[in-house]
Amino acid sequence: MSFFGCQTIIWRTSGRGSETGGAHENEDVAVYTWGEESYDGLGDALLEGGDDLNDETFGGGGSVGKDFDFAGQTNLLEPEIAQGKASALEGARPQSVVEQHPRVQHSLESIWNDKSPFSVLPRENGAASRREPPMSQFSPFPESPVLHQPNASQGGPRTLQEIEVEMRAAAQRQQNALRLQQEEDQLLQEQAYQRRLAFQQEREREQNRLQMMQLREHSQHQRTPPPRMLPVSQSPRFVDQRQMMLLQQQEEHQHQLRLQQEHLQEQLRMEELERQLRAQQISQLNQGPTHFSHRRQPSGPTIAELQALQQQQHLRQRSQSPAYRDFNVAPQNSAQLQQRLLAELAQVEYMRDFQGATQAEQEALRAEAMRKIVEAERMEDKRRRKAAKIAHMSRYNDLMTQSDKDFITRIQVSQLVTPDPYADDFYAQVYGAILRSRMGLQTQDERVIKFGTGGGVGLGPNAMQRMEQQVERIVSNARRREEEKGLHSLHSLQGALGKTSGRSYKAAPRQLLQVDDPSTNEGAAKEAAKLSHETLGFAQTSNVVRKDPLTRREVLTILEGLYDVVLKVEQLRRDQPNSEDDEATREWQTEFDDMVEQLWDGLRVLVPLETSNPHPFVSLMAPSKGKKLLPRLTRHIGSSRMLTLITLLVACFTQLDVVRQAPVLDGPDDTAEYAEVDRQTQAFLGSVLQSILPVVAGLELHVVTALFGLLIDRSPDVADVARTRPGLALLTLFLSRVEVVKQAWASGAEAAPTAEAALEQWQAVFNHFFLLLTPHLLSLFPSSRINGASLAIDMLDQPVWQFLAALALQAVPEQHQVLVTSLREKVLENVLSANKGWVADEEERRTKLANVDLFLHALGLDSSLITV
Amino acid sequence: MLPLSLLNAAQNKPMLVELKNGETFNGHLVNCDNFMNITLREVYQTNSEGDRFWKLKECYIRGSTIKYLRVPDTLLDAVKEEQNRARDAGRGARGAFVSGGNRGGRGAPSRARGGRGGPMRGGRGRGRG
Repeated sequence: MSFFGCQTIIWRTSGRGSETGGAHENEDVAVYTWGEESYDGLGDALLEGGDDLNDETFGGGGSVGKDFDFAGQTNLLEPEIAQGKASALEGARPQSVVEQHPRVQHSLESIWNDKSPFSVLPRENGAASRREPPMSQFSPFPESPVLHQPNASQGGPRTLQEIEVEMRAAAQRQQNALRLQQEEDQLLQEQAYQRRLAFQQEREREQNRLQMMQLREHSQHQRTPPPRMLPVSQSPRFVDQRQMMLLQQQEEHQHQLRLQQEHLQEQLRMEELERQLRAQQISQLNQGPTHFSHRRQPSGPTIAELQALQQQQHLRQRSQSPAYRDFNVAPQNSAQLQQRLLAELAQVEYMRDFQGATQAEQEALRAEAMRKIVEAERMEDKRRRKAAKIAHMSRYNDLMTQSDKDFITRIQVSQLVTPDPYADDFYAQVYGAILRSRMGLQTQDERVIKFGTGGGVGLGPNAMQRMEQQVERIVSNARRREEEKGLHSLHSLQGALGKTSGRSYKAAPRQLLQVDDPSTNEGAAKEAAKLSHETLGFAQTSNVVRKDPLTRREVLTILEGLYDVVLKVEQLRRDQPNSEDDEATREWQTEFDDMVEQLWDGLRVLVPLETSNPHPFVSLMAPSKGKKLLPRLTRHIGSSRMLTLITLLVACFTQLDVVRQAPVLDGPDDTAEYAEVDRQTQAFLGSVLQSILPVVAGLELHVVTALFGLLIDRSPDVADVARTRPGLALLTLFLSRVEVVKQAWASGAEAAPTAEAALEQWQAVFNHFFLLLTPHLLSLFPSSRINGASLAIDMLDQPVWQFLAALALQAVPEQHQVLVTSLREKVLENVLSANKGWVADEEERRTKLANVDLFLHALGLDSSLITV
Repeated sequence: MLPLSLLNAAQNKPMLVELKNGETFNGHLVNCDNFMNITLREVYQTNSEGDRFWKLKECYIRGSTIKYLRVPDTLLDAVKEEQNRARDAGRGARGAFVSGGNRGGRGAPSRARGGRGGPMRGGRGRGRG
């Protein structure tokens, strides 16, 4: 094939460059390559003469005689010739399916130039001359020899016979030689040689005949036969062989075509890649970083595009199920590749010629293209392996259908869905209870935690809370009413602290309280003392066993036991059965009471005061665990017992660890001890005091008075107590309670018959207290005590100011005077620093002023009145 | 196919059971129930560290303690095969249903269809023919 009339043979064996005429070998039609370079043009230079006899030669005139009856001639010689023919044919036939030897000639005329040693071509004329005479008979021009060589013709028959014999012998010899050669060749070479040999022999013969003819004709022209005429000699004798040859040639041709096509395709691909590479380079040089779409090439996608395609495929690979896509895309890609490459073949050649690349460059590009192909194959391979692995792994997928999965999901979700999410949540319930207790009802009632009652009630948790609140309010109101209208307060306290035992009052009762303060109003003081004594009860007898204080281990053990009981009680509370069910309720009640008894006993409140120092109860309160337990515990204890507890607490107040260790808080605040004491104090204030607060808030004045007196009496130095935060808190608590009571009485909400007496008592005790405290007023302030300037010093002072305010509320005017004189310094200091801006920030200033105001308002004054 | 049905299909097959505490039990499944409680026979028990082994003739495992079970691949192949067959059969039956009139229920037994489908088929055949 030849596009644009140019040479299109891409590769040829190196040795044949000069020989080839560029014609395709094994063409079964004559290929005229008049324009080829190897054509030496001698044919044109030929001066043809000897055309005289053309008419005779080509049958222009004269009758056609029997001279051309070759078949007839053949038949005469039949047996021998038949042998020769058969052997020749035999030689030829086995060679039918052959791959032509690569060294076979590219063009027919180059056969004559075959330099191989196996060639039987006559290189010297001597070999040919022998054969001349035998060929004469078969010359197509018997007449001319007859005409031109009468002598020969006379001796013709004889000579002819001789010639015949010679020919036959020669033929036989030839056949022998041929056979030998054939054997050799078959051993050594491929059969193409044999064919060629036979072919050559044919040609030899023909050539000899022709030469003979020429000689007989006296033709002086050493004319090489027209190159193309020879092989297509019309001699019918060799038709079969020729046909065989042609067939073989055709087969060879086809086979080679196929081979060549493969080679060509590869070559095309390489060429394509080379071209693309070069084009890419050129375009890059010209345009800089080019977008792939802006290609000036007329051809299709470039290598880069192909690569981009491949990259896209890679991406797609990663994102989706790679195997499937890969299998589809990769073969398509290669097919497309091949198509494109094939289509680009001509352009490749064209471009190559235009660009005139050197051989070396081409080689390099070819090598690169090869590398790319190999790489692409490897990538495809990898992809295929990955796809296979994934397919293997996922071979059991989809055993569960989507509907199955949805089914399971629905079931699981239905288990989670509830109308009230907090119905089963213990902590949510407790949290709610705590919030309610802080915000809703101030009274300390049992918070009953009920579970499973969310169902059947609308509006979820809020409804439950509201209902519970209502119930509690009702209950507390009823209880208060009962307490007020019921037993006399004194009676209600009868036996609150247990039975009296042992000695009677009259016979020299063992004085529990040593109230010896001559400055106080005797009557009132005595009464107060008596009351306190009474409230405390005569639990103290001579046969009290003095024990060692509880060890820490014992304390912890007892606390743990108490915790267990508390948990049981709480659980019982939750499981409180329906009140309609009498039987169960009774059972429950007995169990509940039993538990509560255990609690009470565990607290060791009733243990005599003198049992140990510290009292067991105090020891129990020492660990923070104990402090935190108390509120939980006291929820279940009745208020009378609570009062007992408070009394005990007050009585042993100074034994409390927080009170004893309070001075630590005045020291440096970065020690572990400080931290510990601080923690304990916080716990105390938060738990214990909180738990007694509601109880105190419900106490009568005389009880408060008694407690107050008790505290004063039991403390060696009440000022010490007041210097402690817990003590301060307690005192403030009492004072405020008294104030509330007083106000209640003043407003007339609750009238009390013993108001006068109680007030008198109270005042007496108060005055006593005041007297004790007055010299130490200033020392109450942590700011005065602490040397270093603590950060929250004003905050620390605040409780003191509060206390002082409460104090002032209770104080009579004379006492006010005392207060003012004592605290004037302090007040002024604060006010001045606040007003004059000696303070660090606004917070501090406000705090100072607030503190002072607390106190001054109680006095009926205000800080703004102070002008300095 | 639901997990419990796969487990039921695995009766008498060998399997490996791992519990939530890491112990593994290798044995043949005897029986199972809706709570995934299973009984195995010819069991090799391994502790969670993998260094102690016991052989038990039979054992009972509470379903709630199971982390997972491993079943042999052959069982999965069989199940998958069955699923495909069922699906194709279902499709065929459903296709015939659709053409034979929708009965409002899928998966009607073929027996019923055979009984009632005869005359229907005939009628439909006439229509189609």
